[in-house]
Amino acid sequence: MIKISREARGALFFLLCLILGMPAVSCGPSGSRREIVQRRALSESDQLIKPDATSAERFGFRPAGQSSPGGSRPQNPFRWDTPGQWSESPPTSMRVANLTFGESGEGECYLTAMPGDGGGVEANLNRWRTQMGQPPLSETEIEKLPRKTLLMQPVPFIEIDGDFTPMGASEALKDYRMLGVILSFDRFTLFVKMVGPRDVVESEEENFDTFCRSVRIVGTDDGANP
Amino acid sequence: MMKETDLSVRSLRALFVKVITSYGLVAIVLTLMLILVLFGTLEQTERGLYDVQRAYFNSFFVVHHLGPVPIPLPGGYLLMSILFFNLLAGAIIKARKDWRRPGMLIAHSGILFLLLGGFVTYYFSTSGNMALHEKESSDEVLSYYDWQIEVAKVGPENRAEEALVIPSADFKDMEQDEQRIFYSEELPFEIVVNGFARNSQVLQEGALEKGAVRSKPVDGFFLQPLPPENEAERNIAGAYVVLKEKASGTEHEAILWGVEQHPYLLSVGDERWAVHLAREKWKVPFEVHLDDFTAEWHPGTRIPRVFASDITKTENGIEEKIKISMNEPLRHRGYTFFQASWGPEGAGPNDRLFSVFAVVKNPADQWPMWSCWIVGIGLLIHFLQKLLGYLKNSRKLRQPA
Repeated sequence: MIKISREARGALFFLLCLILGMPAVSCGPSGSRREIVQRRALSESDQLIKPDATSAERFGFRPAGQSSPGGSRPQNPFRWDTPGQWSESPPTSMRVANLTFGESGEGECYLTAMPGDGGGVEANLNRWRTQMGQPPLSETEIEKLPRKTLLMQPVPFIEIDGDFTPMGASEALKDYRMLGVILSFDRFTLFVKMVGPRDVVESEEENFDTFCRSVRIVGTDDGANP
Repeated sequence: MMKETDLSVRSLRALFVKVITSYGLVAIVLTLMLILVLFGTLEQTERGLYDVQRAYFNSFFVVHHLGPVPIPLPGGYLLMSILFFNLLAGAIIKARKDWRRPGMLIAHSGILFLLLGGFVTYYFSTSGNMALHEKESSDEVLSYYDWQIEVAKVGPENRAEEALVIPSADFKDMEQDEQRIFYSEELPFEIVVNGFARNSQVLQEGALEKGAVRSKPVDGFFLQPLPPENEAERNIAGAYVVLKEKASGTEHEAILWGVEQHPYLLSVGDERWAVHLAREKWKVPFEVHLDDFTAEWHPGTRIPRVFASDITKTENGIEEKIKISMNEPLRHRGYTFFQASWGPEGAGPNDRLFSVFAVVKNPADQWPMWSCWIVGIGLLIHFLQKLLGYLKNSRKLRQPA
């Protein structure tokens, strides 16, 4: 039997009261309506106002169709052929090529270019597996993956069946299939990812190969050529 | 009856004094601090330094999750407060006031001073950074972590002289689905902040996979909340706002993003207003001009040997040349400028370099050093007295009876 002195019991009780009491007194200011009372003199570095700036300009996006400043060559150095029944959506900040397929466009295939190694081939392949609810592959297993051709280079090809959780989503989409290849250069990394309901993707696998083989670089002002 | 109550109050007071000055309490507090430091350090691998410091050490209360098991613990602020009062009360009530033995009292005060320095730092210090290219000047410091919403009336030539400021403290605790309204008599509209994301990315509609978008689009863009970065200064805040005109009730939806290049502009009648989310910014009472930046590495490596900035500090028209290097900060008028980093990364010999200073204003900046001196002097006196006493006793024992 451990004997606790009266003093130690008191110390523990004192601590307990403080712990339980503090949340009640440590809450910050409350209320959903607040008056603005602070002000600040603005300096030269704060003069960022641009009348009629579009949202794209505000957020640093180039308006669609605008070419690189000072040059006639296009900003996007990549070209590809869109397979027959696929539809092309406008490119986004992440997706260089943004294609959809299937009756209601439920399947997606897109080309992404990231600077540097984009996090690494192994990490990205395993991230995709995790998205599909599958365990990661070992380095040896990744080395044994079959190869496809992208920009005339042999690249690891991954096919994953499972429940697909899109980036940022909380619920998985059931019975999906994902195909993907990654090509890493010194200065940038290319990703081709195809995802959709399993039966839809299975019926379009040949077009995935066609699309990968068709991707090419036509040159760019900022020297993105490998 | 009255007497009994008096007795019970007196006995409670006595118990309280006994507890607050007890060694038992200090043993419990130090043990809990040990546990807190251990858990807090382990948690840093998951949540980063800034978040853990706030959750574990600047708090009254924290719940650490050891696997699936939640462990409630007192936070660092609470523990240090108790330790402070324990030491203070112990010194006032319990300690022997033997002025012939001043060493322990001096050392005791040194520890109290150290803890007091912690409180002063917590409440009164501010920190941020100043980035300057060579030949650039500035007197403005940007916060690492805090963001503010600024609303300014746009004048002629698209310039604004002064902004009303909604400080970070007023909205940083908001949940993503929470709403808060900000108003001012000077403004012809109210600002409804519809959720605030500490870290976020603005994306074009269609940029994410189907089902992944967690926010509504505004003018073809949406704000995607992201998990906080481990290095909290890399977070980019974002918020949805609705600007509601007071006269007509017309609502204008907008996205504010921490790295937006231009503020959102709203026209109300003849007036134009700019609404902008930006890092909190404050001025120092002198100007810093970066004359030259030098970076040197150990031969054949990328391990830095010397980073140094030659600056000119200008105050009231008086210029002073100063060198700030990795271990030699500039301390002036309560501000400390540390050489923090530089860029651009991978710069070549002909690239224009910039230097980044971490700027800290902390009234208790030097207090830990002074505390160490006080504790050191106290212990030195104490041990010298002990040594002299021992020598004296030894001499007495050696003398023949």
